[in-house]
Amino acid sequence: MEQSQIIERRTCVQRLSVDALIREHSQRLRLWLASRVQRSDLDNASQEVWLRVSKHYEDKFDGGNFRAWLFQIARNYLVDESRRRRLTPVPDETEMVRPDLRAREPYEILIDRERRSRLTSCIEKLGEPRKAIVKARAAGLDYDEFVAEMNLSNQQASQHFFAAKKLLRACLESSVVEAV
Amino acid sequence: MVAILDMPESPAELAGWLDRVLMSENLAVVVDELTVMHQTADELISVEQARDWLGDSFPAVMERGLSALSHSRLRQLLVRPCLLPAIQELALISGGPYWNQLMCVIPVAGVAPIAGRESPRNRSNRWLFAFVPLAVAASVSAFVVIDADRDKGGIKPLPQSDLVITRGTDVPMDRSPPVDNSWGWNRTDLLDDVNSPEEIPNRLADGLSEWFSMAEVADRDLIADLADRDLIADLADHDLIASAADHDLQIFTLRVNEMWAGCEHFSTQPFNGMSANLKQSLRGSIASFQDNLEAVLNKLDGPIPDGEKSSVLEAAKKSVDSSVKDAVEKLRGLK
Repeated sequence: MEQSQIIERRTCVQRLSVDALIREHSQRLRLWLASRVQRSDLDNASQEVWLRVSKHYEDKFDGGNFRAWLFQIARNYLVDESRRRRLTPVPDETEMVRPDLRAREPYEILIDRERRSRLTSCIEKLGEPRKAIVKARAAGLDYDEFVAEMNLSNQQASQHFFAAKKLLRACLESSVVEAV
Repeated sequence: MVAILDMPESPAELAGWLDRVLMSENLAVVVDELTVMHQTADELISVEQARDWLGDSFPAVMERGLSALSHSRLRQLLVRPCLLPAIQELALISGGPYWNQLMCVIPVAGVAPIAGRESPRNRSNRWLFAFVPLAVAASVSAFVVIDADRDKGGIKPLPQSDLVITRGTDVPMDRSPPVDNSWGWNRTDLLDDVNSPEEIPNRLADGLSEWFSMAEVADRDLIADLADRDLIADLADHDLIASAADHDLQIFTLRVNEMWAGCEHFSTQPFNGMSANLKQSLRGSIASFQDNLEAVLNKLDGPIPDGEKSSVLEAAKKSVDSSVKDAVEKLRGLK
């Protein structure tokens, strides 16, 4: 077999195996990226990572746990993006699992801050006891565990909670409109 | 918008909900919201640290999900949400068929509802007004349909005939389109054909007057038009509606809440083009009306002995009727 034919066949086999990996692991990668990049960057990030996988699969993958290797590639991509954008100090690669250290544009950081600030403000607006009830529920507490302390019945606490949910949603929607 | 409000109330369902969150694209939102809610520090958690945190439970979690953790450990996750992305990574790398299956069944952009039970968010999405500025009207629902599933939790003390709601019973809840039965200040078309800002107070007065027309319809129809499906359904699910008086109290409180939310909305509107004086008077009237509603709601929210519920309700109705009447008069007098 000619050298060129060998190379061509190898390339073909490699492409087929990467295609199979994409089919098997694309959703897994997408979920991993979704909690680490902005939603608008998700498709692009996913494509970039697969390009890197395709490029390095034959030389760099040692045949071990492909998923772990895939996320390492993805993590490297995020670190490179962070460096490129020079927005935040780049953490050690093995520690980069937190959404706040994802590669982000300044406007994205502002949007996140605004969102957090809106949520905080709307929670404050709920007043007591609704605020305390929402926090207790968000901590996974059952009504029985906190109503007595608040001098409420289960039913009253439940009423407060559902009213709080509605008010919170209304407040957040209203804040969005104001911001627009 | 607030993903964590969809968290199930039953501790038994919490683990499953978290598993679905971990296998959804909503994880970042949930982590963010929990961080804000509990004002927790932004920690960097590595996969190794998460594995240490799971400890001996790690293999079981990888095999059958977070239900392998005790409830107290699950709660720790909620108040220390920065652990979640690292646990997600562990599940994506080492998770068994359980996690793979979750990954397959969950729609790309959201968290799947609990099998056989619709999530509150999905329920509310169907009736949430599409008109964002009046999202306060989220509290105004269209139909209460007591279907086979709902009957399990039923509003037991009421006779069966009262459970059959005339409107909507022929349309199964899961297939019914959102129906806009909004009223008063929650109506999406309230200010649609206003020609000048000076007309707004009168239009608001018209909207507010609907409180009286709605109060005159029969109780059963009132439920059909105004009951909050989420609230009533959830209370019924938890057997928290103990009597007919309770039921009336819930609905009345809900309606007042809706008006309060309408005040909240209009008190923050810019009313572009309106004179400064009129704007100030209008906002003052709205604020005063809202304060009155708040006072009534505070009374209704307090502990009410069973035997006094009917009389408390009657007093609250009178108070609200009077406040609405005053507010309508004030609004009509604004120039």
